[in-house]
Amino acid sequence: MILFVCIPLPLLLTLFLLEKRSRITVLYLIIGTFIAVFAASVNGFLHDWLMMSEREFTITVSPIVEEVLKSFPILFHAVVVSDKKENLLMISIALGIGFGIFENAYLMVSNVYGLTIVWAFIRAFGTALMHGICTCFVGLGISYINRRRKFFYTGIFAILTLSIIYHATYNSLVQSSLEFFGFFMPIVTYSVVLLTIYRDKIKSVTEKQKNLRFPNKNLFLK
Amino acid sequence: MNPILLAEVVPFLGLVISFIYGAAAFFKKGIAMYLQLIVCALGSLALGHFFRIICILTSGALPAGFHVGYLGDFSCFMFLFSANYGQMDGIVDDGSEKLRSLRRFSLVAPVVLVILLSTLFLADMRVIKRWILIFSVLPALPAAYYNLKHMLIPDMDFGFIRAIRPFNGAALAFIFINIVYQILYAFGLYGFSVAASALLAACSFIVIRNAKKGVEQWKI
Repeated sequence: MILFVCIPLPLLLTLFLLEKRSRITVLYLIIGTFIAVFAASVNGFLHDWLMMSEREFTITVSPIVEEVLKSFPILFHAVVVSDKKENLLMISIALGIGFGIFENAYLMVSNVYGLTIVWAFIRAFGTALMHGICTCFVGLGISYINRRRKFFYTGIFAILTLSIIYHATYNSLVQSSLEFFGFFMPIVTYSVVLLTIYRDKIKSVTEKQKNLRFPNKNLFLK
Repeated sequence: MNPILLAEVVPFLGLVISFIYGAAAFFKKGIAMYLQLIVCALGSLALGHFFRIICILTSGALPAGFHVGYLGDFSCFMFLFSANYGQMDGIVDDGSEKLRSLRRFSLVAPVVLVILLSTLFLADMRVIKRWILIFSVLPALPAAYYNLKHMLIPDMDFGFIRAIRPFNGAALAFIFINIVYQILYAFGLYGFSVAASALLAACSFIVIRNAKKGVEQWKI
């Protein structure tokens, strides 16, 4: 509760001063923190009910709970507000990172004497980034399938499957002797996503420049 | 190499190659969504196998009960069913009375799958795991029905049905080999499941190749 007051509430106050695009980004960052709290409650309940080991729970159940809960605000935004790829990408990564930030803060407060800078880097560039990437998959996927209604339900299930398996793979790797691969997995995926987005942007900019230089190129082709 | 790991790695590699080939061929403007759904089906199954490989590498064995790899299997068959029913069936089947016997005959495919799946009740495995496995491949039943139907249905108009007949045959084989592979794995016959996994890998590529050829033939 104290953590919840310290982090999202001051951010809420900034919403009144921000411009539209920044406001939406910060809003979804805050929503991410809300979802982190809710997911923690659901995970706690399920963990007690299913009586699984910690490792098995983090590989099997918690990825499903967290990815499904994180997808709801994005789906809402896509259906009600806008399904533009740029908007969904922005809000989905904000939501995922907000989730990761709150989760890190909670773990930090729960384990104050065991903290190191290495732990901080791993949580920042590993877990928090992984949450952002999983939600990013959902956002990008929804932007693609929202306009293809026949594909919608199967597509949503497939997107969630992708993010759940990614999340479960990360959890599985970091709790094993292959933790090195687990820690670098989100950074590598993030780099690929970034390159893809910027490649598309560079392509569209060079296309525009070409059209400006040769506005009547079709005349030459005739 | 551990035969359990090999039985997962082999289909994974085949599925990934097929997915990349299909994505490069079909994820372009103007290409029918039907083909994209087939590619997504292969991608989903690859994800399921990928998770199983990670589980075996990190903890030495698959989880005893449910694991998220089953979502990949379910998603694969959902895509195949969605492609056949949602995209293709309305085009190839006009709902006429003269095709009624063919529709009934096509039920052979899901019935055979049910018979195959019922052998799981003879396997020495936990009840919950058995039902999880059966549930994860449930969409394969209607998918197989539509693949068989579209393979047998007479070509009346554009030559399209004739062009995609090899693809439907390959897709049907893909579904059956996948189910047999799962059953062999459940019985602990890892040597045979490795052989089935090799067939699955090859079949996944044949599915995509036949889909591509079918589309090209129809254009001609």
